[in-house]
Amino acid sequence: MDAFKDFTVVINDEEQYSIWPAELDVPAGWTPTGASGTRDECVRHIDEVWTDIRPKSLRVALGV
Amino acid sequence: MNSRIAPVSGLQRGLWFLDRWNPGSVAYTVPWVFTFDAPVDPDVLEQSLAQVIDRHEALRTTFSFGPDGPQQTVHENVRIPLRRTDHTALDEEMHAGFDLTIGPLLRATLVSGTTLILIVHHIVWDGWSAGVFERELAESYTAAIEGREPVLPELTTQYADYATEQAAEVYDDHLEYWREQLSGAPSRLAVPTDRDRPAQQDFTGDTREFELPLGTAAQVQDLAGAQDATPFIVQLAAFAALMNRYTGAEDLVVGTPVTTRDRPELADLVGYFVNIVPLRLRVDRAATFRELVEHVRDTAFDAYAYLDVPFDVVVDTLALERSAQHAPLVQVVFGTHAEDAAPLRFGPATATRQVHHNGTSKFDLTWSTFDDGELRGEVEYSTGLFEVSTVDRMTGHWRTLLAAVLSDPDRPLWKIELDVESAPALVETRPRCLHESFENAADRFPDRPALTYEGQSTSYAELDARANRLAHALIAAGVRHGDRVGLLLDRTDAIVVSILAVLKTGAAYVPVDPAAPDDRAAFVFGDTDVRLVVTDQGDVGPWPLFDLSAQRETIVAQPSSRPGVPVRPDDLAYLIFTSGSTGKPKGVAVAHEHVGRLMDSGQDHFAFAETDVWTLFHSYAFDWTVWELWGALHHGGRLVVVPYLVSRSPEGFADLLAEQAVTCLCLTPSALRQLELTLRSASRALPDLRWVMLGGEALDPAVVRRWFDLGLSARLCNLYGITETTVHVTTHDLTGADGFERSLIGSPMPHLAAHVLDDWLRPCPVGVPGELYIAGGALADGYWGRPGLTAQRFVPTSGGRLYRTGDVARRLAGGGMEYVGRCDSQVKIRGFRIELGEIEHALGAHSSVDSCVVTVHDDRLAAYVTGPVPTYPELRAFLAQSLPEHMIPATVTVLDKLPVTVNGKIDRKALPAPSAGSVSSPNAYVAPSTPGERLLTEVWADVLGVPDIGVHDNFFHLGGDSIRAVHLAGKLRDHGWALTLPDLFAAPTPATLAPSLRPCAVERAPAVPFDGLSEMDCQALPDDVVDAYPMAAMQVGMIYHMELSGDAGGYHNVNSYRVSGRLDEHALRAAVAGVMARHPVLRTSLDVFTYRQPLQLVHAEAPTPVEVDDLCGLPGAAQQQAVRAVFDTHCATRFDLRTAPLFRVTAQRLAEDTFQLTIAEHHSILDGWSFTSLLTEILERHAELLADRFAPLALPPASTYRDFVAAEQAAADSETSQRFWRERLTGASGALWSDGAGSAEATAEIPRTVEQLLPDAPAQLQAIAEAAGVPIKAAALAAHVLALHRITGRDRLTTGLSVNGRLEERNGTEAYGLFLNTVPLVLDLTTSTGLDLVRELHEAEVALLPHRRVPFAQLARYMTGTRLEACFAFLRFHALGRLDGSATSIVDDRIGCEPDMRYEPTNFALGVALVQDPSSDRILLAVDHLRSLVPDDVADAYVSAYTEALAALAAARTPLISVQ
Repeated sequence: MDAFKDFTVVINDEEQYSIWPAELDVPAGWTPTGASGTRDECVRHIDEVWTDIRPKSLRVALGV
Repeated sequence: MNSRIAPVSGLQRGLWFLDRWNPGSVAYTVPWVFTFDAPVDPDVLEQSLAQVIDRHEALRTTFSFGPDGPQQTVHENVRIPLRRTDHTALDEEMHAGFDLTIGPLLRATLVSGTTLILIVHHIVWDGWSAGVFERELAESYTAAIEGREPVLPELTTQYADYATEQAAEVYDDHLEYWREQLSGAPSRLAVPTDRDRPAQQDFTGDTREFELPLGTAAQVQDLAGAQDATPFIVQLAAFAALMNRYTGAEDLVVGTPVTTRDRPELADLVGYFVNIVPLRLRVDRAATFRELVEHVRDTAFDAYAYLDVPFDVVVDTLALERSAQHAPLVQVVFGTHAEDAAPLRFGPATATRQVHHNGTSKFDLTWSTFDDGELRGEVEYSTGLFEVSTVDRMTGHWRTLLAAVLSDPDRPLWKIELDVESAPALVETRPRCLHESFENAADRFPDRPALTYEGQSTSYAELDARANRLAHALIAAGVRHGDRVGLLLDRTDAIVVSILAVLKTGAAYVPVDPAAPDDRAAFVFGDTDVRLVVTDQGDVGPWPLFDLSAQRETIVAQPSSRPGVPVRPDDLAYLIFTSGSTGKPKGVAVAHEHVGRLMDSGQDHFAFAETDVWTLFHSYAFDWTVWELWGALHHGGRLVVVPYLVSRSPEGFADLLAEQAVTCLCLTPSALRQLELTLRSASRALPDLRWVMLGGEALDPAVVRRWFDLGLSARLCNLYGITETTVHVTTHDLTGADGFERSLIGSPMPHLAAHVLDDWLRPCPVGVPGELYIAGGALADGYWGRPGLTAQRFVPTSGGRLYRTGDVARRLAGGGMEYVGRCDSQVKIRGFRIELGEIEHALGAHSSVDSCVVTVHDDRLAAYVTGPVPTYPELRAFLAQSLPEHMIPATVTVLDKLPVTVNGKIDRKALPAPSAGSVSSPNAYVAPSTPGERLLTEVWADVLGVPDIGVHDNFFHLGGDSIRAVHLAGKLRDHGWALTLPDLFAAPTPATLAPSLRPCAVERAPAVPFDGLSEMDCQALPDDVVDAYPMAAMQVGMIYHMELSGDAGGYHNVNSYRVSGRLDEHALRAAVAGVMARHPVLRTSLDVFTYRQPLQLVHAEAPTPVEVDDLCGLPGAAQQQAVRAVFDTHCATRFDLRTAPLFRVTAQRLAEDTFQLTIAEHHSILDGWSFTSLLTEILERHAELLADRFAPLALPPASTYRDFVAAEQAAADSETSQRFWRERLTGASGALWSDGAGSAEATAEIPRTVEQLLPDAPAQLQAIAEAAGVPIKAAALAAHVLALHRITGRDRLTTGLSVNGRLEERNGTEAYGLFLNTVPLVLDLTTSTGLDLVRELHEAEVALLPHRRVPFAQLARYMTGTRLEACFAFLRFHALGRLDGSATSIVDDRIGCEPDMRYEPTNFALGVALVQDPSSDRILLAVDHLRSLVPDDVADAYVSAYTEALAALAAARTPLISVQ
């Protein structure tokens, strides 16, 4: 992954976030959030928007 | 003979050196086969061959090491006989090398008139030469058939002219170019190998062909055209891209062969005009193939301006790194070749040609393509490194890559997929919560012990109840489903109760080890926002505490029922913090289901049961405890809590394992090593231990080896794992140390999948290291409170997530994976990318290194080791055998033990600075201290012209190069020491090399065929003679004797053996033919009259004298009769000495597993040792060919009979020897029974033979030898002397002693010939008796040894009368010992190795031989006597006297001489 410079922020059904090289097709089950940039920019963005790393189904069950 | 001496060309120098490196190797021979569609005329072909050889000096050249370095000698009138045979000889031919000093360096064999096999040494030949040669041979042949003069190009120059010119060339500007070009170039292109590289490059190899799709050639041509490049450039670029994929190297050197025939007059010459050009290529995977082609084109075209400087000179001049393990600088070669497969006309016949492969590989890989309009490929590869399946995979990948880049040259290289990876099927389970599985076990096994702590056990029911009470108490204290609860507990049973209790509340536990630094707890509990902290540490911190001792009353008051909180499998079970190499610790959030899937997989693999006993050995802040806990508590097993102090005491822990009968043990390799050391010193059998599960660190093969040396029954399983993927990922079971030469981690557990990906997220080919990514149902949710970090490490894949491990691994061809190291332990030093794990692996292989770790300190590699480590230079030299220079640590620091973390892993951060411990500078001068070191430093100073050589100075760093290395070996040989070049390259300092020095015999000048013959004699020799030299004195003596005696016994020997084993006619014939090929004497004829001196003529070949009869089914008597008849015929049929061969073989099959082998030979070519060796070699080769029709023939012995003849001549001329014998023999008479007055000088008489087994003789001889302190044969000789004394009544007597004149040199005992001499011993028995006599005889024999080769004919002149009537021989033919117990062995119920029938006429009145079987030691006394001189009763009396003398000597001490 280190060969890539440009990334996009992607998210899956459990609202887990990740980053993905802009040059590659996004894998099935993942959707770009629209945010993109360098690795660091994407990571900073995720640090802001993703507040609880637990999967969505667990968070819903716990009511958080 | 006229000859011309020239220097070798620089190109040849490289090949000459390689031949010195591996003398006689077939790596640089070219087997080339012509197949004719109709038979060709052998004589015309031979004559045509002669014409071509006359035209090309290269084919008449030999090589030697002259005063100015290697030189070539061009010979005139070189005959290269066309060997004619009817059996397929290719295999034999291919496996025979050349002696460059002797030549000729071309061999030709015509098989059945339709197949011509040419074997030629590359030093006089190249691919272009093949075209020249075949055109000229075809034209010469056709012209001869058509009765015209051949039309051949005029040759205006010869190879020696080119070589002379080239040798004078100065390459300064060329070398400057290469110096710049190769500055900082990697010394090694490390294509991943299937096997560890052997300590010494061995050149064994194979060739694999591969196809390329039709049309590829045209596509290559098109792209080449578009890029102003050549098809070669395009293909090389694609190859470089492949090498980049396989090695990860972005800077790589590929060798490519180029021709240096740069002038028209060289185009028609045969000779070696090939240079290897080291092209240094940079491959950027982000670039397009088109860009790569341009780069390769520019690099190659620049280099072409400097291609004349021989590769070897580049390597030497630039002092590039040398290694015994691989070729310098270039290990991988790529070349393209045009192919003209058009048939060639030989008169009315046409020939097709093919180059064959001879089982060698010059480099690691030589990748070639051939273009005849379409492309095909060939890979010559080292079989010591690669499996054929790996080569096939590589060629498949190249095909894929080539197709991809040709169809779209503008795509970035990284986008090309070499493999289509199929997603592995994962086992998906939906397990229960962890505490529920425990409750389930508690319900099934309520009374079984669940927990043992300090001798107290707690049952399942009780443990469940305790956990329930605590859970209720925690809920009462405010803990809720979804919370985090901190644990800060000593290693007691409270840990287990607390974990269960927290899980039962629906919260996740967050463990902190009280042994960790104080701020750790504050950080961890703060980071996870714990509801409260359960502790037994008292009042310890700002967070809400639940103090177990303070709350004891409250807890006990709680109900023991299960709290029944509805916990979901995806609820978090724990948050365990990992440190990582950088940054803050991070909490890995793991859910119940993640652990549940792991435990389900584990159950499948390890079959956990209620009978298992586990230890809670590790800190519960390390996720191994998750495995230990549930491995026991989900299955009714017992968990033994190991108190912290016991876990730190190897002895205490070993005791605990034995006392508690532990069955399942989890350890880090460091802890296993500790345990192994303890068990070694205080042995415990640990019979209950069934699994030792290892993880947490790379497993070093040395640790495994030492463990299995203990001989315990437990199996090892190497588990690779990461907290983020829930404890374990892969398993690799080990039942022994074999096969674990590298850190194998096996395959993923069924709930996970592993991918090895490159930096572009593309799968790496099998064998190629890349980063390991894990997918599946046990990936943690992420890092608690660290979304950005989670997003970076848990990355998308189709339908799920992949965890990026940061570990480097490679997939193995046979399945499974190898752990290579951490991504961040890949360091870059001086531009080299270095894997620290690889250095640790090499260091750990040293027997004195117990454990080791390598780090980088101040930009230098620093090693830390424990164990009885040798000095730095020794360690450095050891590493240099397997690592390139840039990977050798600058310092080695010895520690008592390596620091470990609280989790039991090596703590790199706690290593001291490398100044501590025993560090020594590699550069300090150390004076030689041993004789070997002194000799080496002196000789080096001489060869290198550098004074004051220290014992740690590297030969190659002080200006040594390949030729100086040969010089060095030569100088050492002059001092009497042998040194092989691979030894020097592996150990290039005096200190490391000194132990490999071995004494050697001083080498003679190499034998040259026809050497020493007059020009006239040479001219007169028949055409098929390949060598001729004078006869030995003994041979001449025999022949004159035969002439004088009218044949008499004729020195004609026949021996007939009963052999057990299967007889195969074809194999026997091939065996005899092979033996004849190896031993010139078996192709030798003798000629006394034609030449100026008696000569023996070695013929290129002679008929194979084998006859085979089948007597199976005949009655026994008839078989006996037939065998006798053959024996008699052989006795009666004398040899014509002027016709080779002078031996014959008849085999008669008696039964399926028995045959009779009768061999007749003329004594002039074989002595007893040679004859028995011949017999053995035929039978062995026969057996070998039965097993493998293509078994290669061993090389001929280096020592030859020719060498002996020269040595004999020298002895005859030696004044010292003459004086020695004159003093002893003057006035002596060898007559015992005749009057010695020259009666019938030759007796025409067949002797009588008496043979008697002496059952007591072996023990008697042994006793005498021991009492007298002499070898057995001196004892045997003493008995003979005493027996002679008895039957003759003489006190003074002379007997002959049969001595062996073989040369003391390498292979000296393997040469066949007549090495015998008979020397007279003059004895006076009045002065010595008993053991004194034995000793004196031994001393006399030792004294005569240096003079034993003076021919008897000459000795006889000193005596009065030339008769010598008695002779004694002690025979113990070691070769026969090899047959004992082999598939074919001699059937002899007397001593085990004697023939059934023997006809060996003697010319002594009394010839005595004491024959000892080398396997059984049994002894036969064989006496041949001429009845006219020694009557039967005297001979019989001799036998009795001999037996009695032996007995008396063995009883010793009694007076032995009592004349009757």
